Amino acid sequence: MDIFTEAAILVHYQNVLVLLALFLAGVILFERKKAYAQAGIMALIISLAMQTYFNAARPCAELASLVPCPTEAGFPSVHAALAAVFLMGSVGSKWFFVAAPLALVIAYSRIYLGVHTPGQILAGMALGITVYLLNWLHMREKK
Amino acid sequence: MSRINSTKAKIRAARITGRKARQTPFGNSRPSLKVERTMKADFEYKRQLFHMLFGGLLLITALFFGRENTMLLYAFGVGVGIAMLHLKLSGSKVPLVDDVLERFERKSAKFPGQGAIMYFAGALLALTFAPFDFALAIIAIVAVGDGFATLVGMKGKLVLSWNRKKTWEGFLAFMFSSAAIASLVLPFSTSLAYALALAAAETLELNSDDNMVLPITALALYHIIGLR
Repeated sequence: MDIFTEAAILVHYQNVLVLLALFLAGVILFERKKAYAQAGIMALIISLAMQTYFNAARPCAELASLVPCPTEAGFPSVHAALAAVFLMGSVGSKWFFVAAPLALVIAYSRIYLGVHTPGQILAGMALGITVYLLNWLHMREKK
Repeated sequence: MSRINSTKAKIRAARITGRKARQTPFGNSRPSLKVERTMKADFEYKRQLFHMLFGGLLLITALFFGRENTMLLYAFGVGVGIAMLHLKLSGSKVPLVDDVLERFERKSAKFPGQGAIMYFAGALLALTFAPFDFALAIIAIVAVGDGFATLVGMKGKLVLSWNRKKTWEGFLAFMFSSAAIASLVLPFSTSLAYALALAAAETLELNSDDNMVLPITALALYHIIGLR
C-alpha cells in the first residue's frame, strides 16, 4: 500500500485525533486565533447539523470504498469544512504554504477513500470558508 | 496663479494628483466636501457597474458549463482569491490585482479583495447547497439587485427608518430588478417573494458583506422556510 493511502486511512480511523490536532495547531500557530477557534467550532456544529438535515447518502453506500462505509450521512463533509477553516486560518501567516496543501490533501483523501463525492467535499469547503470569513469580518468589526 | 473655482476643474485636479488629493495645483488643501462626494459617487457607479458585469460573467459561465463544472470553476476562483489575499497580507505587491483593488475596492473593506472573494464564495455556496435554477437566481440577484440598489439608492431621498444609510428608492430598485432577473429561471411569484425578502435583508446593518449575506439568506429561506 502506498504512503498516501496509508495516510488517508490513518486520517479516517483517527479522525477525531487528527482534526483536534489540526485545530490546536491552528490556535497555537495562526494569528487570528479567536476568529479561527470560533470558526472551527461553528463549522463543526453547522456541518454536523447539515448532515443530519440533508441525510444524503455517501458514495460508498452503493460503490466500493477503501474503508468501511461510515453510517452517518455525507453532505457536507465535516473533514472538508474543518480543513477549509484550517486553510483560511493560515492565510497571511508563514504557515500558509504548509497548511494549504495539507488541508487540500485531507479534503481530497475523503474522495480517494470513496467516503465522499466531490460535491460533498466542495460543499464542506464552501461552508468552512464562509464560516471563517464571516467570523473574521465580525472579529475585525469588534476591534 | 489664478484661482480656478469650478467644481469640475477641482475634480480633475484631484484625480490627477491621487485619490486623497492632499496637494492640488491650487495649493496644499483637500478637495471640498462637494468634490469628495462627487468623486465617491463616481467611484460607486464604476464599482457597481463592475459588480454587475462580474456577476453577469459568473452567470454566463454557469449557463455554459453546467452545474458540476461551474462548481469547480468557482472553487478555483475562490482558491485564486485566497492565494492573492495571502500575498497581499504578507506585504507582496501583485501588479494587476493592486490596480483592480485600487479602482474598485471600497476603503472600508476589511481585507484586500473582500468583495471578490465573498462574491465567489457566496456563488459557490449557492451552487453547492441549492438546486441549479435557484443558485442561478441567487447569483443573478446578487449581481443585479445589489447593483441597482446602490446605483438608484445613491440618488434617493426617502431614507429608511430602520437604516438611515439606505433609501426606499434603493430598496424598491433592488426588489423589482431582482424579481425581474430571477423570474427568468423561477416562477414569478417565487421570484417576487425572494426579491422582497432579500431586499429587506440587504437593508439591515449586519456589519457583514452583502455578497455573502444575500446567498445565506436565500439558502435559509429555501431550506428552513421552504420558500420554493
